[in-house]
Amino acid sequence: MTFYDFKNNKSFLSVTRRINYFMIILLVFLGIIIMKLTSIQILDSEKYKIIAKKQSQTREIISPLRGGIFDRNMNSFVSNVFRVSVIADPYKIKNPDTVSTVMAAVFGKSKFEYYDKLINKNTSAFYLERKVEVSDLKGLDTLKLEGLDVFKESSRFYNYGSIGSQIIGYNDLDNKGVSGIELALNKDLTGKEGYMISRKDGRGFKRPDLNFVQKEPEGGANIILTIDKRVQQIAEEELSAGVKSFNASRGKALVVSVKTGEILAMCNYPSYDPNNIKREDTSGMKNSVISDIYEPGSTFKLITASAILEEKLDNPQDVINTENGTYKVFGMDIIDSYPASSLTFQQIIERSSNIGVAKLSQKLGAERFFKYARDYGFGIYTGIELNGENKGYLKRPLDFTNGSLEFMAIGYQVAVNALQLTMAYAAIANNGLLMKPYIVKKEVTPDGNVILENFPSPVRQVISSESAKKLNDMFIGVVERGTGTDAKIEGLKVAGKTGTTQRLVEGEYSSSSHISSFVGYFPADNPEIVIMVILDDPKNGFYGGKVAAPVFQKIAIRIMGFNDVINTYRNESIADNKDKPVIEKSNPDKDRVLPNLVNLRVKDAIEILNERNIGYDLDKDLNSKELQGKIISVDSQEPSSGSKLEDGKKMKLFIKNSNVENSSTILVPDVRKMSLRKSINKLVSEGFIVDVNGSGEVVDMFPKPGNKVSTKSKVILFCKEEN
Amino acid sequence: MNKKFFERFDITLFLSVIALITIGIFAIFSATQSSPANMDYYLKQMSFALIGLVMVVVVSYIPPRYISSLTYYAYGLALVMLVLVLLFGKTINGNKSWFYVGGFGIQPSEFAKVATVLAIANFFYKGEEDNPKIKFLDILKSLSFVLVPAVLIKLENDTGTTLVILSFIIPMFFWAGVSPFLLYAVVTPVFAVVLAFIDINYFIVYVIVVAVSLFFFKRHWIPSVSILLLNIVAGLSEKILFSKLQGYQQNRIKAVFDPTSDPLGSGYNVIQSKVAIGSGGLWGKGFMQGSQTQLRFIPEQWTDFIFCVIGEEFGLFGAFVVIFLFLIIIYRLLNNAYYSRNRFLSIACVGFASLFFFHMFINMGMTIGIAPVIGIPLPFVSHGVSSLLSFLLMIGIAMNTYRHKDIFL
Repeated sequence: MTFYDFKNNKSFLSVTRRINYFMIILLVFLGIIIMKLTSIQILDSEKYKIIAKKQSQTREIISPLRGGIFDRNMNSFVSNVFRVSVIADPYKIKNPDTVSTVMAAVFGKSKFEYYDKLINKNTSAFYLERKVEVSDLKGLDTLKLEGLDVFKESSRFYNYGSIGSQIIGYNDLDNKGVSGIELALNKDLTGKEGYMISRKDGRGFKRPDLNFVQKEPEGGANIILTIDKRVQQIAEEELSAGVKSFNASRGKALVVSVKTGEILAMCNYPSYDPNNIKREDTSGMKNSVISDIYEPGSTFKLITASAILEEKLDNPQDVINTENGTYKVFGMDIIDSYPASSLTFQQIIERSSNIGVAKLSQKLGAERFFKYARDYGFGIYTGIELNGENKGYLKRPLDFTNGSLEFMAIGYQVAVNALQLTMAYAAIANNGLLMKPYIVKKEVTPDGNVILENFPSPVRQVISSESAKKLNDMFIGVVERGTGTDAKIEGLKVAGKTGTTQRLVEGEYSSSSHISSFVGYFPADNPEIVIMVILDDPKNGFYGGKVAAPVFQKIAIRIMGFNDVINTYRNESIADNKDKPVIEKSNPDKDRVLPNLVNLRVKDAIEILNERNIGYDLDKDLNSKELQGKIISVDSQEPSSGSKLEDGKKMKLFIKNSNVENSSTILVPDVRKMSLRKSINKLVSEGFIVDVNGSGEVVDMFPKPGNKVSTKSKVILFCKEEN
Repeated sequence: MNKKFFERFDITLFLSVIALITIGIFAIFSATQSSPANMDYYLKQMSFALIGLVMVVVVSYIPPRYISSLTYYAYGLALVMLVLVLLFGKTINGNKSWFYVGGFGIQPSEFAKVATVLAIANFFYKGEEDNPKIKFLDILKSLSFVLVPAVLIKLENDTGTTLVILSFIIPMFFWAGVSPFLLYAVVTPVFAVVLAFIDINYFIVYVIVVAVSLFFFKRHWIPSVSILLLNIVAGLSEKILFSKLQGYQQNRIKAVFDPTSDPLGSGYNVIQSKVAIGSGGLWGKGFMQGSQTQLRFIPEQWTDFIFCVIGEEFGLFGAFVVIFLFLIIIYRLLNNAYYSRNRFLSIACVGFASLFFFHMFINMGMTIGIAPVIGIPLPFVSHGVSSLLSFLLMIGIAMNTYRHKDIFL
């Protein structure tokens, strides 16, 4: 082959060698690339796969819906509502002025409140708003402002406000239980989180991907309480009225089913509204029925009386010297309010003679006294499901000092909680059989599986039924002719015991500050309901029989009005429960009893009615979006709760007026891409107030077109100069 | 087709180019489908590829002497365009290198590359007639052919293309017959700069190696010492100049060697493209299945970072196919240069080969973190009308070289 002579230039390298040099350089550099590629794609591939996965996938938790809390008649104490939270990252917010204008328009606060927070670029992201109830977001969630994350969070609405609020409790901002049932059963109420894998792109936007795993959340269990909302409400009303009329500082009331140990009502005064938690005033939040202990005074005389009867040391008609009202025990005076030279055992209880009971206790001795007190459950936990029970203090015989026995017999030097005492009286009413108190009837998962069901459970036979019968007669006497006559009810036999305790004020028993109590049950010949009322430091009168007994009486009268209270509870006594399935749906007649739907979200109310196959009418037409999106609640219902619906009739629900959009709302027109002048003309002529950001052509607006707003609403225009 | 046709038509080169363009169109399609504004880029690329391939065939038939006689006019036109674009061009991504004509952007600098290669080739060809031996003055003259467009393009703020223009001059000198000692004098200071940048100790060792190797050339002491001094001065002045650069400029250069030193700035693309390629593994995630590509972790991936689409979705296998096709193309260009009797086209082919090589190495290298991110396209694969047409023009001339390999001119 001949080559053009420049290639045969012998003065230096030949053409072939030059080409070879090129090829060597080419292959060396390609080799470098191939080596590097192999190291990235084969050796380090796993590492990069993990990085790729991490930065492109995000796992999002789907929160389960928190379980409901119902009373025994399926009245719902709580609703889950969605509230709006906004997280702001000042570092990413380019235009704090726009953002604060928009926030102010949605949340109705001053623009500068937001602006001041947003201009501080040194803080990391924070909640600009947390769980605010906003009826209309005006498109804030679709505006996608950079640095602003708008989302909805589930939170609680307490349908009945303060009713039963210490039992139900409340949640913190993260929807975790802080007190009451919300705390005690937080785990079951919470349910199980689900998750969704979504993809995140290079600019941080999320893209849900159908190919990715997704786990549905499991909703929390619905808790059905033994509480009867009607009884609870009545007891609270009467307690509050009693506290006010006797000018007491605090009060508590407890209603328990004698035969089962179910708690029907548990009230505290003062109370609080869980929908409006005030951090500075926590006095009403405590459930003092179980968490406060006190010296029970005369109501504790039941220990001595039962023991004497059970041990057959005395008969009710045996006479005891009561020393004309003053009796010295180891140098300490025991005084009777109604002095007498001598009284029968029966009269001692009826008139609540301290001296008589002290003398009876001496016959009993420390060991036996302690045994009965412990058998009734004093000084030990009742086992109620709520948190914060205080088991009180029962001195052991070894620790008794001179006079301990006598003073404990009349209810001093011993501390109890109201529930313990109520259960002890319930035991006497229940033929001497002590029942375990409980407040959670059932836990049912959203798909209907019963995960927990409590049945009445006896603790022990404290005294024989004969002794209980005798004691019962004494307590009937207390109401008929003794210290508790104010608890008497026309046409109903009531038994009970009064208690008046001098409060310990600065280490000494005060003669002006008392705890007045009354515990009683009815109907006395076959008791169903036990009610305890305690008022702290009443100023208008102080005897338990004068202060607490009237409150008891008023509660009892109003509860009696419910036929089903007594009847239903009777049916659920221990014997019946053994073979009877407890799911109440099988009883069509009971389903016709109308639930209370007032204050419930319309959506929830409809759900409850559908569950029970009750027909209904709404007084307004609501479309499904309105039902889902907004907090529209039932204002009133017809017929009222507790009554039965006649066949073929429908229930009527009235919806709160303020919640429904009225006809004066108008649609926001689309003025984007219009000139500023033209768009202002259009908006003003349609009745809007216009706020302009920037100049030139309208590029964006807020609220977004298509939103409904009320007339005279402000519309913010964002404008940009054309290029 | 008869055997004679293939003796005149470089079918290997032609099919390799078509194969690369096809792979490129698939990659562009994949990279743009999640970016609504750029979804039709693959169609644009496809239509201009068809136009370009027709041009390749047409150019391959033009008699070489016409090309030679047109070369200086083309070069002059290119310089005029470069000046015009500086005055009236549109700035995109910080580079003032675009003309907009009927909705399409045209980058004169892309065509200036072709014109410059041809001009230098023509210069050496003309020089041959009078004086077969290349003198030092010829080197300076031919260097000015490169420096004028290089300065103009640098003024456009397009560093990548500036470096491209400078890249082919040494191989072309070498091929044209410039003495190795002269080349040595030119090349070694460049290495001195690079090594001085990486580590001053490397630089010191390097200076010693240069001193020893100069001894082996057995040249006169004056040029030898001058070259050594040139190396030292170049290395030290780099240190001084680098310290005078702005912080962001320093970061950009540093990020080449350690992308993690600036993960949110200039290193971001390198980290992301390494993640994309690395996660592709041996066989890739499949067409349209690359999470990093589809989720747009790498901005404007269809231009300079197209190679990581291939790496992610077609894996090491796909990357090897692309590298192999480039190897064939560069081999064919060198082959055509070797067998051509036409000095002008032969030198031009070597220029094109080194240009392709430089583009390929820097582009692939920057996606895997072994070359600086200077923003130059991967020939035939990256989306871009101007670059595609200018690369196809080079292929046309290379095929012309093959067709006319027996003609002196």
